[in-house]
Amino acid sequence: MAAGSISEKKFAECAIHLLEKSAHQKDHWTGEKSSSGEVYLQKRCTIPCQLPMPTTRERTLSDSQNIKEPVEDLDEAVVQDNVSTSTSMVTFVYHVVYNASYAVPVLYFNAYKPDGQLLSLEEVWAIVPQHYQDRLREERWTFITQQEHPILGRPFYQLHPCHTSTLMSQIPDTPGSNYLISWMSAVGPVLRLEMSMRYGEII
Amino acid sequence: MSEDREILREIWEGNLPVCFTLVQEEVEADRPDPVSLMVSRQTYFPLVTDKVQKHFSQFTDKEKIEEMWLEYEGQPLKWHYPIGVLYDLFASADALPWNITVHFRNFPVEEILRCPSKDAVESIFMSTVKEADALKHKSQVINNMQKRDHKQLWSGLQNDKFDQFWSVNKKLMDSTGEEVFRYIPFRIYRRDGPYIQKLFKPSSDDGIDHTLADLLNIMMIDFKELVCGNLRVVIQGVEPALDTTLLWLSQHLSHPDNFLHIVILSRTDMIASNAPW
Repeated sequence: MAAGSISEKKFAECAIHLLEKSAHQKDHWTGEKSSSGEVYLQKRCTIPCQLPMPTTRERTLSDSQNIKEPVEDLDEAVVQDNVSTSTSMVTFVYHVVYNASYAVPVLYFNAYKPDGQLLSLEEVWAIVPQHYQDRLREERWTFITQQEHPILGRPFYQLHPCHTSTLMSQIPDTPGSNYLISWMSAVGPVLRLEMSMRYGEII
Repeated sequence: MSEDREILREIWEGNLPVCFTLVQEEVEADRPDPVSLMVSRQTYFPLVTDKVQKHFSQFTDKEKIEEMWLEYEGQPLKWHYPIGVLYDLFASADALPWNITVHFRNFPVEEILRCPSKDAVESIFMSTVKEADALKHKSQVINNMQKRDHKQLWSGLQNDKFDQFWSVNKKLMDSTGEEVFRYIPFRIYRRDGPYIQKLFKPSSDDGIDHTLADLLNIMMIDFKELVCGNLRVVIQGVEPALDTTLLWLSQHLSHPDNFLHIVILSRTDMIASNAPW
């Protein structure tokens, strides 16, 4: 395996190890199997999030008939600090799926408002914590986008996998360390997925 | 590859006549005329349907208008699949033009991706090209390209410019070292369920080229059904001989996203749409 990547077999081993640790500390990761036998990890949790309030200006812009200003303006509007927001309980469903093309795990997720409505891409971008917003602004369309879930065939948001192996090659592979736990601790916070320090404990 | 340039051009120029109609329930007053377009098999619906959107949005309730989406015989069409793939999968047995229904309400969020702008299409397209190169060359070719080469691939597709697109794409179709491609980027589609995408090498360990039949066999497509002629295997609208080398198919019949999109149709798929077999 090239530096920073992981074989499918190793992925499965790390996943089993992670599930054991999750159960031990009563976290909520589960192992799922599709009808065609593919496996992935799932976790569901509800977190308070600041969502941008819909403005009349955004409504006009989303109607592609009326776009007169450059699209960059829409991007700016969503991430500007002074956009008014409201707190909403958002339910996240995270999936960790193995991607054989890049030989890395990929984080997929959907996020729902209390009324069951799926968060829009603009809303997803807006809940990315402040200190990742610069990167998001630069790489908007190569960072988090909506994609077809490779196992379920339904729309899910995806954290793009093309830089994962570069990132993971910089994290030292110490004995007893778990690739998946290291990776999730590194990228999870971008999508409000926090890994407890207890995942570092030896059980 | 130069001797086969004519094939590449033929594939690129594959077009489909499509007739768009606004769904009856969303017609406000006068029933609008349908819109007919000749569209490339290689492109994506959001890149060619601005006119359709403009035309029909005048005939429906402005207050209730949402993002436009397309449907064929009850099947919402995934805009992130190339148009030719959607046609081969759902409509190839029916008469032309392809009659597609346009909707502005009740967007099927659980089935199709949102398309807020053409940036979303570019993002899907480029990430698929990148994934294909990860499979073929461990991303070496795509990562060594300049940003303007990436833009040229995209604008070549968007503006339907064969020469512009292929002057960059030929690098993605070449070998980087001894082996031509590490793996063949492919997706196999059937009407039921998500597509199949797995790792598959262009040749066996003892150096024998894999054929289309080898791929389908290993991917557990019912081989007996295949040889009996109960299944049709369609790529870019044609049914290639099953003993065609997979590498050749990958280099010549892939879509611009660099994936070989293979559609499998069963006899029942064809009967359901009342087509002559």
